[in-house]
Amino acid sequence: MRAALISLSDALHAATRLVALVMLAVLVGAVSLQVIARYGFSAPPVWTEEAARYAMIWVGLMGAAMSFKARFDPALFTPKTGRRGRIALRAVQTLFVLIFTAPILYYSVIGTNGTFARSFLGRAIRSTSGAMDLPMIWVAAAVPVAFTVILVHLAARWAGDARDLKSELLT
Amino acid sequence: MLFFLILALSILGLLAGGAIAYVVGAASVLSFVAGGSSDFLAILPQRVFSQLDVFAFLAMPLFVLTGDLMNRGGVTRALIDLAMALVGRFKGGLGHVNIMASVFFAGVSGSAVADAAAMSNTLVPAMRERGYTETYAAAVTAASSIIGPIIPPSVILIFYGALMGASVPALFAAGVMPGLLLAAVLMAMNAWFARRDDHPGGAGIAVPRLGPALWHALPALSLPLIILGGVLFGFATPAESAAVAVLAAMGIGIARGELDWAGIVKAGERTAVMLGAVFVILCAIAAFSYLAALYQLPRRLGEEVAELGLGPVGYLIAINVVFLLAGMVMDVKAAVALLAPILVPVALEMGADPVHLGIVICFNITLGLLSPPFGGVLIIISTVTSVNYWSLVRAVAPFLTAQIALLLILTLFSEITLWLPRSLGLL
Amino acid sequence: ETIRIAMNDAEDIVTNGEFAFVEGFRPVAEAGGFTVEVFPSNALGNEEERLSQTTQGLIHINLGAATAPASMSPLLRMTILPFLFASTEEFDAVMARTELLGNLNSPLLENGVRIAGFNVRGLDAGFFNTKTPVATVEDLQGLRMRALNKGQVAFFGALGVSSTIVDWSEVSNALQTGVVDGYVNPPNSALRTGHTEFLRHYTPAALAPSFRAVMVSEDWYAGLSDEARATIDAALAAGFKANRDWLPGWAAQVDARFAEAGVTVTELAPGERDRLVEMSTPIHAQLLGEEGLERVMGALNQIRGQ
Ligand code: NA
Ligand code: NA
Repeated sequence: MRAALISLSDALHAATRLVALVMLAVLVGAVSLQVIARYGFSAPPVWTEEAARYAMIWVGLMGAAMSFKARFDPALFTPKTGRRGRIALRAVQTLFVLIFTAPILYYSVIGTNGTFARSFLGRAIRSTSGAMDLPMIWVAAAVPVAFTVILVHLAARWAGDARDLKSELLT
Repeated sequence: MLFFLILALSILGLLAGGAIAYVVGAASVLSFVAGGSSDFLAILPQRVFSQLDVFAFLAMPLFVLTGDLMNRGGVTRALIDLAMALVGRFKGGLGHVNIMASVFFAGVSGSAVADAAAMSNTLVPAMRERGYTETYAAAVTAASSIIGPIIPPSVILIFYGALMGASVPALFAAGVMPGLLLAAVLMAMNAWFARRDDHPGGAGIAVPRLGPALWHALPALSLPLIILGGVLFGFATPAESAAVAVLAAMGIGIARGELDWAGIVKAGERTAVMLGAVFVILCAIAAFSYLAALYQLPRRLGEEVAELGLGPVGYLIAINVVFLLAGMVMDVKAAVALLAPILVPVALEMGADPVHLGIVICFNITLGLLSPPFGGVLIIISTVTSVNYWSLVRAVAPFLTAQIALLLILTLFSEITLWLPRSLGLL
Repeated sequence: ETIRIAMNDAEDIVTNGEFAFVEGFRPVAEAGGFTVEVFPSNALGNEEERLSQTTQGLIHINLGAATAPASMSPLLRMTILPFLFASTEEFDAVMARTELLGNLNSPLLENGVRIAGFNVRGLDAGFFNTKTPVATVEDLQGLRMRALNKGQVAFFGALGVSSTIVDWSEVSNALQTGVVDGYVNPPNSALRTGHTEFLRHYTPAALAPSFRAVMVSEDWYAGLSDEARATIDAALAAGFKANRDWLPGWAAQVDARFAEAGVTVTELAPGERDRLVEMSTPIHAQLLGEEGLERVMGALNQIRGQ
């Protein structure tokens, strides 16, 4: 069970990393194309600006999940304690993560009137973007996906996931 | 009472090593509940989404990526060697380079955050390599990053101009002198610290020879040319220049034989993590700003100050205090949008100049990026480097003090600000 | 009961026609026992965020760009098409006397929001540029224009003018450095942002009236008593009247403001507007779809036939 949870967290981390890298490439490509098209083509592609923004949303949200997994989110203090203290600290930290994350996830699928229809995703399903006519659900979904992955990473920490990905990232 | 409880709980959370983003986010959520506005928590998913759905924000990840690719591709080293050849004989030379780089960068970017992201990923490692403490390198980077929004172009000056109906070109011209003055003050301080703490550089140091250094840096020099030239000569917008710079940094790194596929992937991964870390903090602060706006807090604060019955000088100083306080806890743009329309008209009635006031307010509000508890630039730099947040706060303090003194001078002597736009006939 | 009204601009009665709406709305609502709380300057968020809060009943009345709800009701793109409506009066008549407003609203109602009507933002849009006085279609040819969206790309394309999409946040910079040479906007936009420092030439071409939508939370509105709903209806009507009454006062100032800013105002040469209309009409179907355009034209012909 514990091992399975940690493997799930690792697999999700690998997946978010892949999505973030692909979307970062889309971002760089779309913005560069905008410059090239201005001087190369008579009619500029209308989708570059929108594609870059939506790609950034995916990169930023996947990055938020990666940052959580890697314990990269900056903290003001780093207390030093023993094993028991560490569990107490982790409990406090978990509480804060849950309080912030819960309403984001809840209101992604439930609206103020208690229905899915009024929720963030419910509205996204019925919306399309201005330039690409992309169903907005493809972009909006990044919000609940990222915070769900963060909760899985959090659970994996309780299951014993204690690896330090931060120092690896900084090299 | 409830709010004090939330405050106490948040401090506990921070002391327990909780990440700033989640502690502030949770405190905001609890404040919604305590204020009887839990229904408004329904704004959160869209608020999170909209924080990133901003085209102008693209420059930030793109500059971080450029910086990372430059580091891995040896481009940074070539540029630093050239800089050392030019200013290495001065003590604290790289500190001066850092400040000058921000002056040039200011001409490209209107954003202190973009400057901080780009510099802390390039100049901080370089300074550390040359024997500066990482903390000092990070502090100089932080202090000089706010030159960006003061020297034109500047997102925040455009925003103020639109909001208050002040001429944007006049504001841009007015920002030049204060920006250069700020750079001069920072360089003087850097020189003083260099002497006191015996920073690298000066007599006896091995300075690379200019000729070979220039030769090696030649391809690398195309990068600042792309970034600066692209924008100044109307080839591309800042975000676009940043994207082209990414491709150029990649190309040069590969051509130098120092950048491979693994390095590119690693740079991309780091950029995503960096963007993500900064972004969650922005979301948490945005949740808090929403609540403040919902309760009309900035408006109430502004109205109280406007009704204090202060004289012109006293009122200007009071405005500065309000904006300094707002800058500490609020997003720069939100603070200007909510406070300027309330505070500025009263000052104008007292005979203040809208352009002068614009520069003072923008200078002031960017100082919030350097002050605790939530200095945006400090958070980014301590994320990108590994300098502890509070060590950075302490190291930036002397610079911040000098900047506040300069702010006071700019407030009292409007001629410093207004001279250039007047000579150019913009006022 | 409190009514929360949100908008993106400042509470400035001189330049902001939406605030004129608020000032017309307020006394009627207050006389009916409501308290009106105004959130200017995007205090509650950008266009998307305010729309989202309106669908959830957190904002009761949102004054915003019609392009945001167009994501749910694409027919709303008609409000930004050039040369579709002849005048604000014609547009108002279509909204008041045909099914079109109902057509616009039906996909919005599912999302808990209803457009009660439209405010005017200022005068009709025209051509601004940094380089040359424009009197003919040919005068536009050497310029690279900033396009806001694919509608404007199509418009400039139809005129044979090159364009490039630049985000609003970068427009000032782009005009100054020459990334773009001009844009299409009502006078209000250029004057309020100080862009007139670079945009030295203006051509009033009456491209399209500049409308902003008044969005009402349907969940909130439906939950009101009959009496309260009548009050809100009367207040909305008073708001729209105040907005239309504001327009002539603003229009009278525009010329003086252009003169003060040193902007040359060039009228189109005789016959040029007809050429512009003819060249750009094909994009209507392209952007609204055949079916959408049919609906709009049906409504228009109904009014024009009367
Ligand atoms: Na700048
Ligand atoms: Na710097």
